[in-house]
Amino acid sequence: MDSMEDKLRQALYRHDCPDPLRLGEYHLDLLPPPDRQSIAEHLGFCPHCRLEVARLAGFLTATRETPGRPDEPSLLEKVQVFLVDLLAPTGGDAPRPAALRTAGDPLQDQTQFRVHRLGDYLVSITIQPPGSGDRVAIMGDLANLEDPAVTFESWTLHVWQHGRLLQVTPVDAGGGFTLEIARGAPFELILSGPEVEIHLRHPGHE
Amino acid sequence: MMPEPELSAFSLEGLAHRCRRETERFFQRGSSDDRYCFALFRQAIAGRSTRAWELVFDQYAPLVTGWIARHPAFAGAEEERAYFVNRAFERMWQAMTPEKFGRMANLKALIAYLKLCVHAAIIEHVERRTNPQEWSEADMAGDINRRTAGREPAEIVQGELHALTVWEAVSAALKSEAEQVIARCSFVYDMKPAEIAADYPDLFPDVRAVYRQKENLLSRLSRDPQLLAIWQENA
Repeated sequence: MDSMEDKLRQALYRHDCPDPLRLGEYHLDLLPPPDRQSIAEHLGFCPHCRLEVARLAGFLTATRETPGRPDEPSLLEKVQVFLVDLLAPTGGDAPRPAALRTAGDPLQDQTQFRVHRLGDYLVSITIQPPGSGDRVAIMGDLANLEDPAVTFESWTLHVWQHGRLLQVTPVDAGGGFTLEIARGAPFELILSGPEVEIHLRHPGHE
Repeated sequence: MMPEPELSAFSLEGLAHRCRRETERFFQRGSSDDRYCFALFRQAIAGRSTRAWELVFDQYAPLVTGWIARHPAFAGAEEERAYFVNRAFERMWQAMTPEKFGRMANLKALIAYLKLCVHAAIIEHVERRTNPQEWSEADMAGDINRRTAGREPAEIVQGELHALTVWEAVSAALKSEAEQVIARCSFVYDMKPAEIAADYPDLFPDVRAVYRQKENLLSRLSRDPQLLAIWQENA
């Protein structure tokens, strides 16, 4: 038979301790003042929670593998990003660059051809109709207008569709790239170069 | 140079891509522009977008997996890393309300919260499945064997009610500040008399004083009609 002390300890042991997440929110200073005050008082009494907070603090600061250090973006070497809507009407709002030239009906059966001037870069995109299949062929070409001798070995093409990164392929030295993509759903092509990114968005079509 | 696009002009995929690249930049150079990752989190949490949350998961699952492997209690948790990855993201999704998100100053704060969720997921798992006696002093979990150990949620709720009833009865029987300290430190926090004497020298001149008053208290509590009724009810 349990002694009175055993019974009391069984019933009461740490009955008033906050759960680990709440203790952590206290440690991260995320609680409103009344809750914060109540946990601060509890920590004054409870050696277990004091130890738990100390261990949590150790875990949170143990490793320097956490990205997101709050650097000032203005102090960083920034990546220049261009957003392009591949079906945008000519003369879209800034910063959306205007298509220099378009041809074809993007919605159905004709080849779509677009050229965009984006800062120092010229991007041309050809989207071929799927014909009887369910894949659309896309060919693209990048050029640097300021320095035509620039090559593009270090650039990559990221293809996103249905919220998933479908493929990452290198752009060839001359700036060319080709891919196939499922017809219908919206997709986004992202050309990544050193400190430059070009996001080409297509809303898809039936 | 063309003006920088507004963050609101990016698609979720575009934000995810930029977030990934900035994270790579952080690991390569130690600096990064955290606005894209923060904006992705904002879409997920403040905007309650499940698609944005999936992209956050894809981006941070590898990092979370590394944290889990390095958590001091993971080795004793006897569960796969992937299990805790899912639990940690679930905890964050449930706990991080749009209102709480408003108090997050930057990505670093969000990442710290995600890491806290890893910690909470592991500790709570260990508490649920472990017999307190199994933990050694050397373990991280040596002092986390709180009352929920090994119990189902319904039992936990019942246990909390029982604890409150017992504590009210005990409190009503206490006659001095010294007894209050003894009751709380001995029965709630399981402290030894020597620890109590060391923490409260103003109330107890030495450890013998703790022993003496504790014995008197236990003797009185053993005869307390309210407590006797509670034990009777729960027998």
